[in-house]
Amino acid sequence: MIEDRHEEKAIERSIDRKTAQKLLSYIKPYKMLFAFTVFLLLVTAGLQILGPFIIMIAIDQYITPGQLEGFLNIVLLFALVILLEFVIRYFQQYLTEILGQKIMYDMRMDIFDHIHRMPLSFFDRNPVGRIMTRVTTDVQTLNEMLSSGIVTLFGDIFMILGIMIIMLSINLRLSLITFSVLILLAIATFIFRSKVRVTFKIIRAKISAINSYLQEAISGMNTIKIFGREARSTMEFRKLNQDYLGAYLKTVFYYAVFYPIVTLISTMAIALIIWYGGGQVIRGVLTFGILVAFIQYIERFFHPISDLSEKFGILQEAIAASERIFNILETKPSITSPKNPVKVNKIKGDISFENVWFSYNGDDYVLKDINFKLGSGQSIAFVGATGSGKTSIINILNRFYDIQMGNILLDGVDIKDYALKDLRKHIGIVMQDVFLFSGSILDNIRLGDPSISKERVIEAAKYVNAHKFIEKLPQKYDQEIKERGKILSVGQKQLIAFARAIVFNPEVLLVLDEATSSIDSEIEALIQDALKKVMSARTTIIIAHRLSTIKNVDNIMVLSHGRILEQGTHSSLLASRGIYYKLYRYQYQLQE
Amino acid sequence: MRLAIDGIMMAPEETNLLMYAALLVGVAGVQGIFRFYMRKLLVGISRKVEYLVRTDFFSHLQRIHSSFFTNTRTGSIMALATNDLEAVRNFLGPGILNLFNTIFVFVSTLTVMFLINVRLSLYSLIAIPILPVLVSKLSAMLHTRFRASQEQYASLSARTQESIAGIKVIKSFTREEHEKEVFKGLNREYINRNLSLARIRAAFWPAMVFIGGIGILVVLWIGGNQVVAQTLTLGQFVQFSAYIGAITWPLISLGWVINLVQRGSVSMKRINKVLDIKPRIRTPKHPIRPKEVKGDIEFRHVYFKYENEELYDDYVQKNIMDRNLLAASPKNGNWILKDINIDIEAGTQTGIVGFTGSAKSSLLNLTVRLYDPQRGKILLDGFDLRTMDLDILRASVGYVTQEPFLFSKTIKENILFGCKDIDRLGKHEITERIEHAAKVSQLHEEIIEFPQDYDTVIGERGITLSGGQKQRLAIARALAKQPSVLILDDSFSNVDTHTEERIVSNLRKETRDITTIMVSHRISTVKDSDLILVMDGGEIVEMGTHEQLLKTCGIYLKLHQRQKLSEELEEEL
Repeated sequence: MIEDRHEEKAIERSIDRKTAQKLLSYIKPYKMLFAFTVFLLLVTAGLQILGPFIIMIAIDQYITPGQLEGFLNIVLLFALVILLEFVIRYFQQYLTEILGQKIMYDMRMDIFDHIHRMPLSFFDRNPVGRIMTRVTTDVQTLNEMLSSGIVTLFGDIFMILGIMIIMLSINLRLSLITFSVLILLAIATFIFRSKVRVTFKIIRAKISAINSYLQEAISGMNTIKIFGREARSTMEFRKLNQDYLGAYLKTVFYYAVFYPIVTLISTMAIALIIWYGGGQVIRGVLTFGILVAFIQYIERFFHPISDLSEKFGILQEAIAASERIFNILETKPSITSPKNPVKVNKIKGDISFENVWFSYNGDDYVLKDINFKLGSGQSIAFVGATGSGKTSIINILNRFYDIQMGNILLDGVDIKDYALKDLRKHIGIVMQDVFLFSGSILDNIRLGDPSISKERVIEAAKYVNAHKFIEKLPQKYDQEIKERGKILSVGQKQLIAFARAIVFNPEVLLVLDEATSSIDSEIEALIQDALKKVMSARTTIIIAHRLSTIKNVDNIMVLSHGRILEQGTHSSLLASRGIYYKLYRYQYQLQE
Repeated sequence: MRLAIDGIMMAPEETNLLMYAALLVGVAGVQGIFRFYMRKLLVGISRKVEYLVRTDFFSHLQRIHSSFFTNTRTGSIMALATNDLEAVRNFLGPGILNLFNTIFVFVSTLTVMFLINVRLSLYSLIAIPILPVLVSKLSAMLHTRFRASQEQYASLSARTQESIAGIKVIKSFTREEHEKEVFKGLNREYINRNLSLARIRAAFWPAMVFIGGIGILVVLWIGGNQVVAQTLTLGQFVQFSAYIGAITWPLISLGWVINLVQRGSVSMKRINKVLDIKPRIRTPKHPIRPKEVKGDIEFRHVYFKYENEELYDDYVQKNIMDRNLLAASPKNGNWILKDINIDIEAGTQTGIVGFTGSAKSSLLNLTVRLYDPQRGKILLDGFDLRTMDLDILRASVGYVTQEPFLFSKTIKENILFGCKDIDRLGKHEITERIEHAAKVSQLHEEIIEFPQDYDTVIGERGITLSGGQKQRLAIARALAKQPSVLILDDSFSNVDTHTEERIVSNLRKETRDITTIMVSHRISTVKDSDLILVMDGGEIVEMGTHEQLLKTCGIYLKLHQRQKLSEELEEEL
């Protein structure tokens, strides 16, 4: 995907120690489970090795000499082994899956939790889609490596070691002959890997080109349509797709060569055993059973090896994914609670801004030297043209963003000295662009807080005039709101937002109230009434649009290019015939 | 093949071992070549199918109507084109490859086995009938559990997306903990479903190993007895165990193949859901293809609303909106546009003003058939848009949308984005056209300051450009198309007033025979238009020239006064 382009460059896939350590730290809580899984793996590997061994004994001690006494026992032993292998392998696989899923669960929670601690500026920089990918797809990819990768890796290594040991213990010479072929295998694998590594890099670049093209095309689909670009886009897309196909077909070639070669090498090992071992059997130096056992062991020996090559691609993807995940987890939230936050029980709601300077980036200050005081229960309105910095006042008061210079005090304490949670709990926001979650109306008002009773929600809804329209919905308060609340009108959504604010009952309320159209006059009256009610008895800062609200506030600040130019009450400002007077005429006469 | 040789090799014990060994390697070599081609062929085919499906998917996406994209998240479409497509490919490639392999090994091994000893063969296959029963039972369960897991995954994604999109609300009400709880529940349910899937999946491999093991067991017991009873030679006995062993691995991979088949079929269904969508807006069977479009536009009693029934997302689909509810909502019909009647003559300039949300953009979207109205019709040069060739219609309209979407290509490529005739033009003509378009939209001077001027690549969505530059580039892009109708949807909002004035005056000179429709927040932009429409709440409430409208004393007059004041204010501040 395009957003990963810069990250993609850094990916030359050998897992670095830091990433490996972090991955291990996720396994750590499940040490026991992990150990047990590995233990089961060991047992299965052992059982797998035991099978041919039993057959060897059966052939040498019972079948060849024609000794039937006790033969049944050895057969039953074999039956027991395969049954055990079945049961233990099942549990081993299931436990591996549990391990993988648990780690995935933890990792998801961590990422989710972490991004919720990031300041808003993080979300300005990172599009929703990118963050989503970390929580969903990347974790998925990683899980594949953890469960099928690491665990099988252990299993395969055990298997190879176990077989080597048992082979050596049965017959040293024959084993050494078998192992001599291994050198060939090592060479083949080495060449294969170096070839595949390069093409994999190319493939990854190609597929990411395809995906970013696709993503861009989907987002810009209307533009493509308007400009009649469909045919040409298809052509371009086909080209990218073809490149990818070509690159992949190349790896198919390598894989197609590699697998038969592994088989060929293992057959060579068998052939060697037959040639050399067979001769020894004839000469009576070696038993027939040993020969059979060796042949079976060689079969089991080479499977894990080709298995490992198959996992190569998965592993590459997973390492890339884990790096992206840890990249996000490592980004420290820049706005955090202080170490020893001020304890708060009740807040009066005195607010003062002292020489506050604020910019979203660099020296481009949107608020310059802002000073004002607001007593508990008082209300203040900010007015000004678009871009005058009004909205920023709200963004900095509850620390969505931190200011660069000056102080903001709440009840005489710097807001940076409160725990973020406490600060925001006491400062409510009513936004104009009301965001509704999918869920019931009830849960949208109380935001899923079960400690707020339905009665209280209804009471609040009645208070802000939302009760009536909610009652008209088929399921009333339990009515499900679909994505982005499409079933409610803009005005209705605003009333829901007011109900939210009432239910959470903050001491300080910030109201973002900007121009909207398409609110019919009936609901407009309801909103104005609701606004008046929520403003009463609490400290309110309002980014004002409605004339009726402005007339009712205790103090009006006129903001222009980040500075307060005038302040006073509605009537005093009008009387002075300054900017407010003009602004007022400009902005509000349409409403009258 | 190898197994056949194994047989010959194992049976006579005293003959030339070296020859057999060499033969074995030789056969393995031949088999290797065979496998090489098989893999190349089958995996190659799967890759080619992937390629075809992806291309198809893409070109189909481009044909689907716009409302599909407003109702479906980009992420879900991307998931189809990546994860699901991969599952399909895995089924076609490694899946079928292994299936072939399994069938081949099975058939050849069984043949040899039956040739040697029928009774023992039958006995050793005693466990095989369990296989189809097991497979059909388990794979049905696998299928449902796969789907359950996929669905939960979709819910998880949807919730994450929502939580990120609503981060401001969550933070301001300090609901992070609650969000975490909800996510935790979904996350837990997801791993539960995955584990329930795993309970089945984990059985496959061991079961197959077990079935193979039973075969070996039977051979060991019955065969062993037969050897002792001398009805079977030791060599044949060894051979049999080797064969059973040879079947075991294909059996195991069969389990894996079933897994791939289930995954692939679930994914293919998901992809097909999109491929089966019939594009609602398309060229009719016998389209009108006017040679030349003059640019007469007429709206006749047009009513329009956005429709919601076609929600694709798994998640959203589960929650398809209650249509009765929609119908029951107070405003009659919920029309976005109500009874729109406009008559625009070719070559004239029309301005549209109105508040945010008064459906100005929706009106413009209809003129290029991004959407079709539910009632009434729109005519271009007297032809109903729906009877026209869609390509010709769109080629004749240059539409600068409100938030123009730029592509991460070079400036040059962006300007030429809609030019269909560039293949016929010479290099010089192309440069001329690009520069002309850029000059009219007051962008040329800035572009030549860029490091690679017109060949500068702009970032994703034009991230390296300022808001004003983006808008002007979008205007240039529309102009380079040489349209008969030019539509500008609030295209100067990030351009300063002076530049705007220059562009507007350029346009006026340039677009003398082009029908121009301009939406603007600034009265000054539209005041010289031949016709000005004032929209409010989806209706045209005032219509006329600047002078006429001022006399009406309606919204237009207020907007105009406001404008003047704002200019004064701007000077004062």
